[in-house]
Amino acid sequence: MKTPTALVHELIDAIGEAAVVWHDEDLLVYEYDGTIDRGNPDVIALPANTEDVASLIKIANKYDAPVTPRGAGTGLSGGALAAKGGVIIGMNRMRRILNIDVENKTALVQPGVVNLDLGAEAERYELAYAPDPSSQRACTIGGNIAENAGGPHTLAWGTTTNHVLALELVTADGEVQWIGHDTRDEPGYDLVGCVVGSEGTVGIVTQALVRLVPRPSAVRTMLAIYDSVRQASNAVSAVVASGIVPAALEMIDKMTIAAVEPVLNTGFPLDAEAVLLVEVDGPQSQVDAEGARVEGILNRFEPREVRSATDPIEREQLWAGRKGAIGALGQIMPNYYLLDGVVPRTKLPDVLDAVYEIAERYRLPVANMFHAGDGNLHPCLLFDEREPGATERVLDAGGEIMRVCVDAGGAITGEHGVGLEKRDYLPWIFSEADMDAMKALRAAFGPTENFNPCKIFPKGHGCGEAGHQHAQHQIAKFGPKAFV
Amino acid sequence: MASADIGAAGFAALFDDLETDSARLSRYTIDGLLPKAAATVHSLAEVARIQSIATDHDLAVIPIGGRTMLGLGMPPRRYDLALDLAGMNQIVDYEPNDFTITAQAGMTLADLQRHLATNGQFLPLDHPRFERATLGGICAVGRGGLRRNAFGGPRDWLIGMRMIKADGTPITGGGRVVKNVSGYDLPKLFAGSLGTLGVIVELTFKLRPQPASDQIVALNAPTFEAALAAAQSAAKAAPFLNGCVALSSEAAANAGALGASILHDQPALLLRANGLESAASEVLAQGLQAARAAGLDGPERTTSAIVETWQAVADLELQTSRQHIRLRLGVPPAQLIRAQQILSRQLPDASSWIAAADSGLLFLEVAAIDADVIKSLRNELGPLQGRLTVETAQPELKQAVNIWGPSGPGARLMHNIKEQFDPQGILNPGRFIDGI
Amino acid sequence: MRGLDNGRIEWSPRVQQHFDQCLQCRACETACPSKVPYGRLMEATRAEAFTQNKWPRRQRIIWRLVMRGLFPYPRRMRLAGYGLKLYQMTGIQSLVRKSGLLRRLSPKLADIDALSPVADKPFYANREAAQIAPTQPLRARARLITGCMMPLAYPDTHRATVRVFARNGVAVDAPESQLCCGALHAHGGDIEAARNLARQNIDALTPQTSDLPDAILINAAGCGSHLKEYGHLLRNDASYAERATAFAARVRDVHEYLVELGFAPPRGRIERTVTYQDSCHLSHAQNIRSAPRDVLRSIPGLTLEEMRKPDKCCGSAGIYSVVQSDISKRVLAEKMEDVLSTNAEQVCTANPGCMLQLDAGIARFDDERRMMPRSTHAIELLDESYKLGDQEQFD
Repeated sequence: MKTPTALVHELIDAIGEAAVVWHDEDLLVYEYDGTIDRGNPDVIALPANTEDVASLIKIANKYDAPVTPRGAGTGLSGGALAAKGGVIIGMNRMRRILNIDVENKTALVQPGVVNLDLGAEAERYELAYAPDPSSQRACTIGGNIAENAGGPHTLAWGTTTNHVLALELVTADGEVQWIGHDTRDEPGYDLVGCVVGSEGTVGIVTQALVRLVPRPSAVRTMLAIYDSVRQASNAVSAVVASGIVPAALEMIDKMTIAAVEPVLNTGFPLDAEAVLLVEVDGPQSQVDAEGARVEGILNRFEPREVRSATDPIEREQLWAGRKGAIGALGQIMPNYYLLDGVVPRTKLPDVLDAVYEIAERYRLPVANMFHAGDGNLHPCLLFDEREPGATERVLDAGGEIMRVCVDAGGAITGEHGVGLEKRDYLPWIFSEADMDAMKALRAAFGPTENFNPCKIFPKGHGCGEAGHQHAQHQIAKFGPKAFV
Repeated sequence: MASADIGAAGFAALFDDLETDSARLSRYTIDGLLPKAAATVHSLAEVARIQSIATDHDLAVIPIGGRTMLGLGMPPRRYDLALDLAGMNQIVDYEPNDFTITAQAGMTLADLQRHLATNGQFLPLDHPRFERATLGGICAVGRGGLRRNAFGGPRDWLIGMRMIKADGTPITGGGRVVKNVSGYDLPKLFAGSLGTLGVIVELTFKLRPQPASDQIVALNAPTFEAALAAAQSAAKAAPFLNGCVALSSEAAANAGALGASILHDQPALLLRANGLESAASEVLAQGLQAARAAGLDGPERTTSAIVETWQAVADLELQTSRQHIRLRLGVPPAQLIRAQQILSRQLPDASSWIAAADSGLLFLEVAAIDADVIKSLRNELGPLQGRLTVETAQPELKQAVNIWGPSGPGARLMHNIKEQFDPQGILNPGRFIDGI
Repeated sequence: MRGLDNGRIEWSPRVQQHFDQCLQCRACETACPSKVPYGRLMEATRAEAFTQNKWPRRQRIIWRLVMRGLFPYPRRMRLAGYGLKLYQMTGIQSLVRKSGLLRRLSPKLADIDALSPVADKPFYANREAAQIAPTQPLRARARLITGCMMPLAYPDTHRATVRVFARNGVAVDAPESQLCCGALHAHGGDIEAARNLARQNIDALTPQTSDLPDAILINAAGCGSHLKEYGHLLRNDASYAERATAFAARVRDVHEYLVELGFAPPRGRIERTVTYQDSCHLSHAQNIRSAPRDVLRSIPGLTLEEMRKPDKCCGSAGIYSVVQSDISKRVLAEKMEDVLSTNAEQVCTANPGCMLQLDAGIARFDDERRMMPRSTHAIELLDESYKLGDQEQFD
């Protein structure tokens, strides 16, 4: 790497001084994404258009500087951290919704568009953008594409990958191309399917053509209150098994309620052990009938109460309780470590028991709020990083929980990505050959070694061991053997 | 030893249980080419071993499932070995309450559906000839069917896959959970790759509960154009319809011969909806109302033979009249009528039209077509974002027109991927887009 | 802030710039489920920098001149107002604007010029308020905070406020001795000046703790949110803490009070489509969103068409539009795109800063001259409707 100063000057020449951030005090806010790991970038560049992105990548390549794309930094897996320093390309200035094609139900957007803003725009035309991560007030479509983001309503509609038709992509060599088509599954390799969920390791998306879906004419949101987590999770399994596909099926436990209720006034009782949020949508008659059936099932598991939101405001309030849950944890402890394990749905009750057992053994408060219908857990281990030894304890417990998910036939991440944080656990579910095939795919996108380096795959040249002793420790403890 | 030098005896020395009798090999004919040998495999290990040998001897391998779509693609550049996977037809893992299933690639879609039906579940994929078409083949072709607007294609239901790489290495992608971003999405890469990257041997799908009610209704129309216009209105008025198809009279008659009697051999609009009884009726009524407003005033015809009727229409994709050429157009739904006008103007003799209005899909048949006409059609359809593929045709025409059409800006990346996964080019050589 | 706190970074002009570039719109407080009191944190951080004299010299001098020397003095403000009026009436302003001279000399001054209100006849608080008699029966007594800018820039909003409440049986007075509320000082970090102003206002508006008005009314959102913080501001002032809390408890935004009171439905028709811009300090800081809309929707003939993101800041943000004019202009450009994509003929908001900013926005972006050049305050529309209704009754 030549001198960073020369790199900074060249970046400034390319996109202007106001769009390049490189003073120490300015870089501070880019070192962090809400996880435990940190990364220290040398410079942040904020492109305004596709050409900017292409020239930034080319300049970075000239200086052998690593490139890390970043959206809103809400991924919670370290994916947006500059693990090896270098240039962070922040996509936040490219935040225009370029077109809504009502007839064909598509939207053409720039990657910095905030998820909720696209949703609001689609709503004007009686349409919706289905993936709705809980961070949707902040997270961007580009970030959603990188992580193949989900959200409560992906139970019925599928995740981001089911909603992206075409992408304008700047690959790691700085070349710009469109991939995908205006229609689904046309001939050629599914490049869009490869890029969605690739965690920003093969290129930067600069435009996306996404599908919009019709808005259902009726919605019913139910709240079921239980006195044990086991009852609630049995109810989840029963709803899934019943053959009804709810629009959403979420669980929130006592610790989460304690954080959420006082500030958001959602109406979750503070002494309940778990509440379920279940939503059905569709034509009114379907909502009435399915709603009644779901209510019947929920009632079989001895709930304290099952009630339905009767108006949009009440419904929004219930959802505010779910979607604001992670943010509200700050009231209990200053730090949290969110896990993103996913297990076959029938394993959910047992895995939840194990999660509570592990948290207790490590003396860590744990808050659970998650996509129960998908089997996607989000245990949040709460701690204070200033307390000596706390971070290590959290990482140990986190590794053990991930192992439980893998042993149950699950995976280490459902929607947040492997990122920096879980890369050492990837061998738990994939063999060397599997990972080699993935790396082969990555190599097809050009010189990607320095493109968002140290993410997804274990090891990696120059990634160092910082922040990864814990994983090594875990592997020593639970065995390095690949799961498959 | 290069493939050209291996005779029947040579093959027999390499593999046990090999078919080399040319009479029996004829079932694997692709564009008039016979393989030198065929291997019927029953396990993942056998596939791995064959690929490893094929790599060592540079043998061109074409993986084969139910042999329903062998006509799709460019003529193979070379063809040494047909790898018949139809014998790998077992369920590997099925926990109904997880709503996921893992099956071997040679299982037919119909068998899978029968298995799932016992638990009130199904895999929402339409595919022609589903009694014969295999899961591996359907995913290798990777296209959604007539209901792709509502259900998407194989890629949208695949959550995990096992493949054997060209060199014989077994690999896995995805998993058994419905939501997963652990590592790159290799199942998406392999779905729709037409067997050019590896041999798909095992697949895991997420499933849907069977709807409480599935309903179908047909309305006859004076012309195909009228049926198409009505279909478009219906799709717009009732976005939750899951099938909305217009057929010309020949298509209706052909489908009738296969069992779709409610079409009465006349141009027709066929609508399908499901969900709870009342909801499906409500959606269907919305669609019908729009179709009536668009001028269709005939009687509504319904049937209880829903799957059979629908499948009869889906099967038309593979029921091209002898020597005829079938074309397929994918286009954003709102442009469908304009695209159809372009096609019928340039191809006045085209027949057997089928259009999925909500999905932007159009199939048609012509007795003969000039390469120049295809070129000019592609030029005219391009601005509408339409993609025209030639589905079945004589090898000479295929060579002349490039059945897949222009490869587009992603071609460079696709070649890179092929190079990474099959550097020797032994899997399905030359059949896919842009010469891959 | 944490970096400063734990010593990872030092206060520097660059750090200051980051803090200065914050609009303090407090949309983040609406968004934050952990209820981090960002507004208070920000003010405390700025105060820390201000008291420790860490500001650049030039900025400090201007601050002392304008914020300490001008805003707190109603007479000086009026004088400045007359000066502005002279500048405009003599035609010098239009000449200057046409020539572009000012932009060449000092872009900043040109920005200020573009934002300057059309100087009107100032509102002489007590004199005018006393002339408007409330309808009987008398339901409440209220005291109006006149503020530093409003009497000059939007005296009619005050007049309308007094009339509207009188119409609803509320006697409104407006003691002459009150001063600028100090919101701008607190936002900027000049906490001492803010406290002084708060103490003087408490003396002026609530001289006796035994005889508090039913409501202390404010029609400027920025001031309102600050006035409601008087208790927090003076919490360590032994002699004022209690009075400040009592004072803050009585502060009501005019819309809030109208709805609380149950205002008489207006009858005069105003055939107009308007769109409503949530002032940040009303929506995010005071959580008042429906009351202004209720007021607007009560007016016969009036159509309220919501713009995209009505609660996104317009970029005015107190003195931000002057201090950070570049960012402010960019924020405004986005806002105007949303405003102009509605069919509204007029934009309505709840804060003088927003009104000034939106007026500048209309002048700059409404190329088709589709909208009324001046934005308005909901209370003025309500007043107009009352007036029209009453006239009809006489006719």
